[in-house]
Amino acid sequence: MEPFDRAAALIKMPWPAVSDTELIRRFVDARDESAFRMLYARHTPAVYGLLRRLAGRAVSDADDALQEAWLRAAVNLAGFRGDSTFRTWLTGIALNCLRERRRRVQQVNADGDVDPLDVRTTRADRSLDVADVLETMSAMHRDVLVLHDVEGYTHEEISDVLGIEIGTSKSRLSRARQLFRERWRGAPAAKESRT
Amino acid sequence: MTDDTELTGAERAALDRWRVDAAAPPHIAQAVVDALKQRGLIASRRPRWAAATLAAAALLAAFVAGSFMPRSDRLSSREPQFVLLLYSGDDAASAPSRREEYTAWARTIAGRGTAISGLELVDSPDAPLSLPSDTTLPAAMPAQPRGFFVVRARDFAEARRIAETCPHLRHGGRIVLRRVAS
Repeated sequence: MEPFDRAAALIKMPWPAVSDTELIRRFVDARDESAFRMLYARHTPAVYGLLRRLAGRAVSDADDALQEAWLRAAVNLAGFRGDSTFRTWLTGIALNCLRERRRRVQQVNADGDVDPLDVRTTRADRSLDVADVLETMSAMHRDVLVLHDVEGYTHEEISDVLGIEIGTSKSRLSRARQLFRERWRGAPAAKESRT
Repeated sequence: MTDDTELTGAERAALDRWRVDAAAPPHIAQAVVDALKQRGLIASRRPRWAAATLAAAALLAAFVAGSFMPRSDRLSSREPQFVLLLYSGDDAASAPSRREEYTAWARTIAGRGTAISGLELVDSPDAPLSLPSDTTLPAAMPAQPRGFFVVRARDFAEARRIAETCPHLRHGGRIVLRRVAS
């Protein structure tokens, strides 16, 4: 038997799962812990992955934003109207939490007290990778680039989660790609990888 | 979007390589649940046997969610399905490492919200069964796929990008990408 045969054996076809709507109803109506944990398990990998990519080396920012996002989401779940999917709604909350965290850190840094977890440097003697390049970009450009080109969000979804117009999302993406191209081209590692 | 702001293949590949999901620290889930209990938003703990049952259900849900939940119900229901047919390569990597690698890849894809599933294809002890008669395939027949993944993607290009990240290619295998008829 080929190794792949055994590998694929671990991956079974999906079976019907309890819908988000049903889990939300059970959590809101019955304060059901298991329902909340299922929602958490279902959506956290994607949301946390996004937060980590946007937070860069400030891992604690992603951790804090994830925890705060779930708390806010749980508190406001009764008011979730389903205009967007739960995932999109939760992602929007998580991005707001991350932005608030960034603002607090920037304020602290502006006062001269550097948060050691948020030191973002691009040393000349170190090769730039994708994460390095993105960290040199402003949050508004980085967010749209990551959401669209890494996470696969549409401009409509980006509009929902960031609270911006679709046209704004498109123009920011265009500018973000230009910036990424300029800076990634300048990265020694990128040059080497293409030669 | 103008052409000069479209990503090049190298740029897209770099972003794809960077797209690796990370598991959230487990203490965060418990911290959130504890906080919600303090606020009265989660009922107090149930009997031990019930808690064990629910924990098992949560683990099951975590596996299902981590592996197969679509990006969103709204989007995925409209997205076409694609089949990645995996043909054997010459690379004979050790089975345990290959098994973990393929499974981790599928879970990473699913973790990004892309619906994915897969199945193995197993030959009979001697050769694949062929129909209409119960005969074995001749030796000259093309290679048979060893397994497949089914993914939902917006279009062929996105399905191809997903397929290009499959570890099967790194092991010398070939992948044939086909769209499922809607």
